[in-house]
Amino acid sequence: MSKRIRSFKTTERAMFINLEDRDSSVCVDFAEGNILLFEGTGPDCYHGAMVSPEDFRGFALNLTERDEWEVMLRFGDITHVLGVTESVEEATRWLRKAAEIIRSKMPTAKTASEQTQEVHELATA
Amino acid sequence: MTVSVYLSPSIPEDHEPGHMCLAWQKEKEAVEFRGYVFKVLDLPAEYQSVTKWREYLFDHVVPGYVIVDEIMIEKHACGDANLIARHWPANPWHIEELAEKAKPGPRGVYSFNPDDHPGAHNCVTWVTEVVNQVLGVVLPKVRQGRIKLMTEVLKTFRQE
Repeated sequence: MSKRIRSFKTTERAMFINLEDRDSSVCVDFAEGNILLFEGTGPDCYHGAMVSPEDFRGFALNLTERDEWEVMLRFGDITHVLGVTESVEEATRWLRKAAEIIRSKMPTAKTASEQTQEVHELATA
Repeated sequence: MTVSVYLSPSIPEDHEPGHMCLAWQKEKEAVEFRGYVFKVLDLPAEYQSVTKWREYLFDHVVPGYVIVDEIMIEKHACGDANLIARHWPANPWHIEELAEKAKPGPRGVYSFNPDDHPGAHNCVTWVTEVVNQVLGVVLPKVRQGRIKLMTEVLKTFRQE
């Protein structure tokens, strides 16, 4: 399993990451802001797992030596690679929207200025 | 009105462990999907990493959570050819009871080996228990809630 991202998808209900060899490996649902991880059996995968908005610490993009971008989820003390993409613009758009949804579902939703700061951090990570 | 179960089978060559969920539909309304999952951060800190979480869940339990199963909603919407479904006719009381029992939120405890931990469930055993509680015994329990065993059960249903 390469965790190579084929597409970022948004429906009326949720947002998804589709890998080349697996659809819907990651989901952010609009109603609750939960992050669902259904990544399969690989050693770098969680499956059947959920991350709640209150445990969300943000997304990050990390440029690798191959000039690809690792899409990373931070929750608790964990930094987890969701996939790898060459499309940093598309990834950034998806991550900004997903973070906005998740933050809005936190027990104490962050202010617009705090979200703007996080988007800036994401874009410059 | 119908009550349904949907199963995404285990496909080892695709690194797919499988998943199962519960669903119901009232007349002219969208299908509701519910699944059963765990939170990574409910595991002890030393088992939360992506390389360690599995070994903990075979021998222990963590809190379980009923969710609106957006993963299965998406598979269903995309016409995933691998999905196996079984449907039963239902009445409004069945649907009402099902909606209550499958209300999203914390519910029971989760384990990969639920037979070894009284009261524990994985996605398969949770679906089986809820459907059987509401409709009567329509699904057999399978050992440790293994997806492969439930796949065989549902395939047999399809052949009837």
